[in-house]
Amino acid sequence: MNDASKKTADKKNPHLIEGGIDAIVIGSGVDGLTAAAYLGRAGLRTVLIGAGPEIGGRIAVREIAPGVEGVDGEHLVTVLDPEVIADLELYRHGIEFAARRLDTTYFFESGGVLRFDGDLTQAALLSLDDDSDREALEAFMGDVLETSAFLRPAFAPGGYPGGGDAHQRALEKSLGQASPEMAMRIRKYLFATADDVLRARFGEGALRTLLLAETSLRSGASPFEPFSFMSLLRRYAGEAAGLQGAAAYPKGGAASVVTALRRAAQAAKVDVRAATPIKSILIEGDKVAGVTLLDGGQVRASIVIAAVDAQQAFQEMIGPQFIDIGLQRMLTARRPHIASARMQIVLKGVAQDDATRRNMMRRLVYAPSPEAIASAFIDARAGRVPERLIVEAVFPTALDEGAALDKRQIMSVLAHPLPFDAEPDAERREAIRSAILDSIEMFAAGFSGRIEAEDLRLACDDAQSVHASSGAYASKPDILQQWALAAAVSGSGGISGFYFCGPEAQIGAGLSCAAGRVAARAALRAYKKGAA
Amino acid sequence: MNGQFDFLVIGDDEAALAAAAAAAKAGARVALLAPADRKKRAPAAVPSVPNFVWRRLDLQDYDLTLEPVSARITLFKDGETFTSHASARATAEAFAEQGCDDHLLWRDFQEEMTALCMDRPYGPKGGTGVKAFAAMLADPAALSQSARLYGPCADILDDYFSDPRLKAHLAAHALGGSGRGDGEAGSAEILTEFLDADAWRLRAPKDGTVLRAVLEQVCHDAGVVVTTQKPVEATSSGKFVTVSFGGEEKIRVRHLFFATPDAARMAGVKDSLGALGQAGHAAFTVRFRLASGAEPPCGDASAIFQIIDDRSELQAARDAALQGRLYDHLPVEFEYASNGEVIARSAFLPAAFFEAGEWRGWTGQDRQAAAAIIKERLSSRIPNFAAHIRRTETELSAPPAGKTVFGACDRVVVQPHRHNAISAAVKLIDRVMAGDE
Repeated sequence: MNDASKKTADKKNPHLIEGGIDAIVIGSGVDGLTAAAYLGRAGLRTVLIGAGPEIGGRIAVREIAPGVEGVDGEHLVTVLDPEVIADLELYRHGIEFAARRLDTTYFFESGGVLRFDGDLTQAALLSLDDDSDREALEAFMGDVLETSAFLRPAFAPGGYPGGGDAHQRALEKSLGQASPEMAMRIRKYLFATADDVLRARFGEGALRTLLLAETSLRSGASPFEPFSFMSLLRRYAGEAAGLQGAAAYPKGGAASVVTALRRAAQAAKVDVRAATPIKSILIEGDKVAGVTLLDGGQVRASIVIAAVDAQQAFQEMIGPQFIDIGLQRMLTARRPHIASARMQIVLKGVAQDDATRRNMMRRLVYAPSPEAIASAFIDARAGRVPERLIVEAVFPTALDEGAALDKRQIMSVLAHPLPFDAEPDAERREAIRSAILDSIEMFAAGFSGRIEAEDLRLACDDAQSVHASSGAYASKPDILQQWALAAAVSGSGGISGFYFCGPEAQIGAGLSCAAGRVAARAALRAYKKGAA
Repeated sequence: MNGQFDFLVIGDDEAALAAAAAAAKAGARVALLAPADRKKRAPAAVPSVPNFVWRRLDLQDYDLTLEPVSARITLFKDGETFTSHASARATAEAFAEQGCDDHLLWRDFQEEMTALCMDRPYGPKGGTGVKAFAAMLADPAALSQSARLYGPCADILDDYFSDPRLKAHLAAHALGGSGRGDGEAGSAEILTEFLDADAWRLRAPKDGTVLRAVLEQVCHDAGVVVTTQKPVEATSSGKFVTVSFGGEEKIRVRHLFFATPDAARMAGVKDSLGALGQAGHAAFTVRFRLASGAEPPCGDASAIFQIIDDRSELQAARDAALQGRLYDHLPVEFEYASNGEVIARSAFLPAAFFEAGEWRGWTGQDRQAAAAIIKERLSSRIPNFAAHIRRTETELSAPPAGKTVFGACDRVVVQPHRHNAISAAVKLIDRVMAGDE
């Protein structure tokens, strides 16, 4: 802290202790907002404390070029928890979808193109000539949807203390209805590499390639490693706009989810405080007692929910002396190797004809060859920038009338896999930038000539913008490691009254809010038990 | 060949023979499918034959003599070596002598790895039902255990040890036969299995009996029907698989049994559970007939040697194999057969080559190039090695491309472990007979 701000802090409340509060939520990202809204609606006096000046965490509207605003963090909604939408009445609080199920066009290294109306799940193919491919895809997506719906409870965050046996019973109950055939399938899919499963289904064809790209996008696990197929199942277990496996675009982009959650929190009378950095979480005995602010003040409450990354919550705010060795090892042992990058590109010109306009309202995916994907993961893991990247692109300005610009378009791109750097230098940024542009050029030849401005955002930039640990938004490892870490952080080191719903509690990537919901529910269960 | 069998065991390595004999002795009808063109060669070291197998097969009635491999030795560059032994105490002492501070941890490490492997919440031993799966998901301790067991080998080694030589030594010996990288998910499981007592290999003493020959005799005596006919087609229907050998000859079997993951791989079969990520590599063996007078490294001709410069080479070699290219610094394992031959092998070779955007199979030139790399690696560790070579023979074991006879069959059982293959194969065939699998 610099001197000037220290002075103002001192002048303010040097040792103020604030009481009469039921619950504190740390972190003003979507999971924090969700948790706070749940607590507030249940009648608890809830304070939401965010370190930064803005509410919404890494999902934020920012000027990416002079006079042009873009949305950081996420550019699509694929796994937004339907329970949160219903419970917090997010539709009433302003969420509206510009597109509930985006059509996808896949571009291949060979120059081939496959267009799907709706999601893959509908298998209504515009350009798949081969009937046997169509049938194989239909059968496969049928299996995937069935299995992923079945596994949905397994992908939900959980395992809070006190929920212990109940959690297992719930899992056993929902999974226990498995037919022997389903049990076999789960066993096979859990241990399988994505490549094994897809190769067995589709041979060497284009469908294997595009599904490999879908499976690996945003995952830290190479699709040639065990457990990697589960990434696809997890993605299809999620819902966007009430449609399993869909990719949706809300009006106003992902930032509108933040706005709606914020309104829901305010409607639930949550006291939202921005720009209030927290120094530590108070532990008295084995119970949480509140938080200490950086300015020296204390806010006391018997429930604290941390919606910041685990490194911050456990190592910095709670302190290593209070957390068990297993959790500590998990937090320190594995450094992330792989991350995705976002790039928002302002393009000159507008669509000249209806066909182009319609194309720009689709989700575009560039799927490099399986060999290129394998090499990309190998390179990224070794710290090199891969030659070819998987690219997912949408045009917010075309999808959302409200975002349309005059004579310009924004193309929002997610590229994967890239090496994760905590502090990339200018040279590395340039290498990443040109690798992304090269991969886009593979399916949109000549587009570089139309670039007016571009904005590259790496995982560490997201982290920095919300004062998180640098690796907080890197890609997650394989599903088993994710489950183990999620269970460990939700276990919360055995501190009563403390709950965690940071990024590590969520399985997989994407804007979900489920972790916030589950943490708040666990807190409410314990609160009611205490009150009774 | 006609008839109906409980098992068709595919392959004629020691684990396959032992499993076939054990099942036949327990009353099952067993057929064994051996490759037709096996050449007679000096045997390499084999996985341990544990007591229960010895008793099950009444091996005391056969004139069988085996001796344990004397040591596992890693040969680093610049003449540096690292050695471990079968006994935990001898190993700890050897570590201390080699200036490795990690010797104090050795026993703890071994015990904890055995526990990690034995008490697995979900997997071959803990059951793979949905109930076991749900129980694992609901229990943070079980999840963390599974994540460690099925995670990367490097994570576990880094957790325990600090000496890079020791870590390279363990990783190279544990993963060498499987062709896996130490940074990959699934490689930790191979490490735990490698530390099992049954993973210590045995070799035939000079002029002693050969385990394979003895097991063939046991199979014969137990009534195992051995065939070298080539199967043409296999179709699954209900509880049986019909394997046809062309013409009128066909058999019906309840289970196709592969006693090692390599046997399954060579038949184009994959079992996803336990044999994690076994795809995408070939094993290559070079046998060097040497002139007399060639000294083995460390003066020990009954050890198993690994050649590695640095631990990172394991993952780099694995990555190269997956990308379909040869890797210059191949990790190589070698041993001296009882007739003095050097048997050198590496499992870090590509199953096929990727060149100019196309996959292609192995050619004679590739074999020469691979043999040259292996020879080069041996020359870098054994003084004057090249000058002693009198004859060289190569053997490639690459998974088949395209459709295979057993590739799409149901009712396939694959034993996933390499290091303790004999023990695990007999246990697995027992479990299948009891209806547990």
